[in-house]
This record gives sequence, structure tokens and C-alpha cells, in this order.
Amino acid sequence: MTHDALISGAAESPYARHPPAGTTTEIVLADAFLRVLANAGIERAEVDGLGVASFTLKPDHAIDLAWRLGLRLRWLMEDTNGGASGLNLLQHAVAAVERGDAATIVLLAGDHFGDGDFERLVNEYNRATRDHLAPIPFGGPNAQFALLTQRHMETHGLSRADYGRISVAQRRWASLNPGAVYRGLLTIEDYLSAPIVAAPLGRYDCVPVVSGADAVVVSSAARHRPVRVKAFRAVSNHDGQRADGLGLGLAELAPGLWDEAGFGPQALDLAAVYDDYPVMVLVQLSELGLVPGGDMRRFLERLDEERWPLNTSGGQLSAGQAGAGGGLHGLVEAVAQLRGEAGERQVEGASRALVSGYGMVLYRYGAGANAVVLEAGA
Amino acid sequence: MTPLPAFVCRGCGEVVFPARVLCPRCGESRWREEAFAGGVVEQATEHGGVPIVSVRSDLKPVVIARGRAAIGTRVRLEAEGGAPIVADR
Repeated sequence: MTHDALISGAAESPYARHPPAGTTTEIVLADAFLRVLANAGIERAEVDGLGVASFTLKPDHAIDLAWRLGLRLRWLMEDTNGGASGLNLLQHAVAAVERGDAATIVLLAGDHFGDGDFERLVNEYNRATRDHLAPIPFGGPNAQFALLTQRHMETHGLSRADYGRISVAQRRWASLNPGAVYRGLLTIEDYLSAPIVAAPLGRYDCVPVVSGADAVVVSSAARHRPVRVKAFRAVSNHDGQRADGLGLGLAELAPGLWDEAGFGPQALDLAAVYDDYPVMVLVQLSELGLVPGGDMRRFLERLDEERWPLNTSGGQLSAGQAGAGGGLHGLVEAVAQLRGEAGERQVEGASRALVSGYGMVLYRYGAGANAVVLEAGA
Repeated sequence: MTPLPAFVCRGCGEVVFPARVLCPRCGESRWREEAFAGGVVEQATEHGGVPIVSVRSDLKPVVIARGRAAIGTRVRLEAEGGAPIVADR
């Protein structure tokens, strides 16, 4: 099936490692808002729906942002699910447009981290983290994903150099993206010799935290080159944190996803997968059927040597992780590619894309995952 | 050092950590605490000078704890200032 709602715009407020003094979360979200209006070719007054995901907007909420942006709305949502929030919002926005609850929805996701904000966020991520991990002190998700990567290495017989191919390949794409914070080419030797953050994770396994925001428009009509949502699936709290974190629950949903899309993973022109750590890229791609025969080494070769278009913005590993913006970053990139607006990194003739999200570490690993299949519309 | 409590469902005996409100298996809301004794280190790393391990406890839940211990070794699980820690068996 194909949903009637269209994705009619996508934009990103430039990511910055060291944003100018005076930057606030509201400023980066407002910048993404203005950019997405321009990209979609619409006026502010046409916007009748707003969805927001941000860790650092507090004490404000989505309605405060609507007020301060001067929006009068029929539909309003806020999603707090980090790396899963962008696609969660898309799921709700598509349904709202199809029901007629709103005609033109802007989805915004992003963060600005001032002094101490990031440390506060990771130590007070939820009560389990505050009570059992912060006192260790665990220092944030790098430690959790170091432990998870060890499990994955052992299960699949992979080495550090295998995961490194993802960072190296994505950096090659980033070199073509003026919006990426790191664009210098990386070799596997650079990857392997970089300082260790939490073994086996080194510097290039960890996302650079940035300030920035992402935005898309979901609407009933489009000025030009709309993108269609072919299929969507989501899962939350798949296993109650009682397994190993190497399965997100997407595998069970994949047959239905592709069936609904009307084509399979072999028909994709590109994919944008949530890349907080290279290991999670492999987990999502495997579950969604992009690793033929489960042969991860062969898949990584294809990625690195044959330049298969994965995370063509450079992904969060090279473009940066703008907090909750990371959950919308891949969608913005995929929409740009499908609309032929990806500049030097444009994938020729791109018409079909997969985007997936992953987020919210409850205790040992993330508990939310989602995936959407997109197709360039007429 | 103090005991590190696991949470045992009074309905079906399922053991969880961290605490839940309703038992994921049977839906019971009443729990009792039972101190973790120990377990086996499954993964180990170090972040910012802090050694961190993942321990498969004898009671079943996997606990992330502070401490330096080799993968495969048996350790005691306790708490210090709220932090799960491992000590030599």
C-alpha cells in the first residue's frame, strides 16, 4: 500500500561542534523550521500541525515552541524517544494527515548542549540510569555499547577492523557533505590507531555531539517532488531488557514491512540507518534483510569497496549527533536524496530508500526501533 | 559495602533488575528483595579510567557494575554508594 500523506520538505539547521555564543535549543529548532518551510515552498501560515523531539527544550514543550514560532495549530505532538522519536513522529503525522486532522505538519527534532547539559542528560536519562549507572560512574552510553559490541563481536566472529569499515565508508560520504562536522577522509589504519574510548570502541566508533536540528514537512499536497511513505513498522520494549541487545524486534516486523512496501531490500537505492555506534548499523541492517545470507563481512565489503549508499550524509558518526535530531537526521538525508537535492553526494536516480531509527537505552541497550520505506513520488 | 538487591516476583518467582512495577512474566505487582550473591563476568571495558563489567548473575539478571575482573571469572556483586560493584569471590 502507499500512504496518501506526502513528505514534501526536508531540511537541517547546520550542525556545529562549537556553536556560536548565544545559541539555544529554540534557536536551532527555529532555524530548521524556517529552512524546511523554504525547502517545501510553503508559508508559515499554512502550517497547522507541529511535532517536536528535543532533550534540551525543557522547561518548554512543543506548545511553547508553537507559541514562540507564532503557529496556530490543529495538531500538536511531542516525542521523547531520542533516536526513535523522528520516525515515531512521522508515523503519527502520516496518520493525522490521512485522517484530515491536519494538512501541513512540520516535524522538528534537535538539541543544543550547553555547559554540563550532555553530562546531565546521560546521568539522568531515566531512573534506572540515575540509580544504578550514574553512581558507577559509567560516563554515558559509550560503556554500554562497548559491552554490547563485545557481545556482537563474539556472536558473529567480527574484529574491530570490520566495524571500522562503517566509519570509513561513512566518512567518505561525509567528505561530499558540506553539512558534516567531520569531512576529512579516514583510513582503516586511522580508525584502528585512534584513541580507545571504551574497549573495543575507539574515537571513530563514537558520534561527535553537536548542536543542530532537523525538520521535515508531512502534508496532503506537495509543491514539487514529493516522497511517499510505502510502509512503516515500530517496536518498543521488544524484550524487556532481558536479552543481549543484539535483536531489536525489527526482524519479526521485516516481512510485513517489505510486503507492505511492495518491493524488497534488494530494490533499495540507499538506506539511512541510525548509527549511534557501528555495531547498531549492522544489527538494524541484518534484521531488516539487507545482509544477504547473514554474511556481514561480504556486506561490509560491499559498503566499503563498492560504495553502497548507506548513511550518505556521513551519518551521525561523521555529520554529528544533534541529540534527538539524530532520530530525524536519516529521514532528512533520505528525503533529500529522493528529491534529487543531495548535491555532490547525490545517488544517481535514487527512488527507493529505507530509514530506520533506534533509541532510548533503558538500562543495557536501546528499547525503541522503527523503520520506514520511502519512494520518490511523481 | 552493602548488599545489592534483586527483585523477586511474589507471583511467579521471576527475578528482575532494575525494579519493575508489574512482573513482565505474570503481571504480579508484589515483589520481595533478595541480595545478589554473585555471577560470572561476561564483558569488560573501561571508560574514563573506570573499569566496568557486565555480570550474568546467579539470579539471572545481567548487572552492569564497577570493577576490574577478567571475562569468565566469578565475582561477588555488592553495592557501594548506590553503585553496583564487583568484588573477588
